[in-house]
Amino acid sequence: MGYLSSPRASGLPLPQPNTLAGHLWMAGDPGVIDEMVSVAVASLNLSEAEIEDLRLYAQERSAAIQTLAQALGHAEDEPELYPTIAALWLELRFDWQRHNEVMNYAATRIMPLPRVAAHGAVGSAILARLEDLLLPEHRDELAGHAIRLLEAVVPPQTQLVNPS
Amino acid sequence: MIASAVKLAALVSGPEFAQAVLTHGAAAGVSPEEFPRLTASALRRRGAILDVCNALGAKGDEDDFYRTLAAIWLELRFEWQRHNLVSNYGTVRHGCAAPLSLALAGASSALMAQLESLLDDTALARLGEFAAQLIEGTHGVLSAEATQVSNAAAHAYFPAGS
Repeated sequence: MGYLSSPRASGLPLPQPNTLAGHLWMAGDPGVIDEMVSVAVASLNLSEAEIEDLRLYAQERSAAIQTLAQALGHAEDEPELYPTIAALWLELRFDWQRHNEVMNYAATRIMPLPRVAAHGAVGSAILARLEDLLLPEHRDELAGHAIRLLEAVVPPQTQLVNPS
Repeated sequence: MIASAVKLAALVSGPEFAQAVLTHGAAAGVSPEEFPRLTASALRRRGAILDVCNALGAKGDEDDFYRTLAAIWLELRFEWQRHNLVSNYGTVRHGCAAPLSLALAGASSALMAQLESLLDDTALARLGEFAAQLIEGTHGVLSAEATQVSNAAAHAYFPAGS
């Protein structure tokens, strides 16, 4: 099953090349992202079904990036587009971290999951393409803030109760 | 397996989630050609949550499991906001939103609802506020001035035609 609704085929105008939306569009280039899949497939032992699932995952990420670029593709959208790219970057970063977390736990319990490793590798490569659109200090501060928020989350039964 | 992992695995594997995805798809007007993508996407999300339940659901993993659920909720919240934003722009610019975006937002929302039954309201409020501020551009890190600078930086990183 291929990707069924390519942003390029939507009939909507493409973003101008020399704009933030244009750069975002290029970051989601499906051809480049498909090459990332091929690299991951070459290095991991995946079944045909797992390879197909990985391709769909990558195509979905590519479409998410390009759909956003197309939707906010006008020059006057740039101030709103930048924080939206930051949010998408965090979304993909959480996706990548989750794959890593699952992979690490699986590895310690001797149940390797090449399928999860492949998604993590492709997710990481896509993340790297978005990173160049954000200032490093913004990435650091946003990721740090998100990590602090999540570190403060504890299961209700282990929350400290103030004795007073 | 810890109780919350068992409960979550049962919730996302149950018929309610699958039914919610189909209902959102039909209500949004997703075409028969696009329905396979909607269901494949929803199944992948569900599979990712089941992976977490299986990998981090053993006794002793409670804190990491709970934080990972919170991170998944935040990831889905960002995704839901993104689909809504794209739909809103489509409505304003072209008079209608893409049905698939609306349906994917609905699928994200259905999974978020399953996770919310296991997460603390205070934590959810804090995470939700962060996500909303970020996409609205009102989070302190992303001032308007900084955004101008970063647009210029992006142009430098990706020269025209590269």
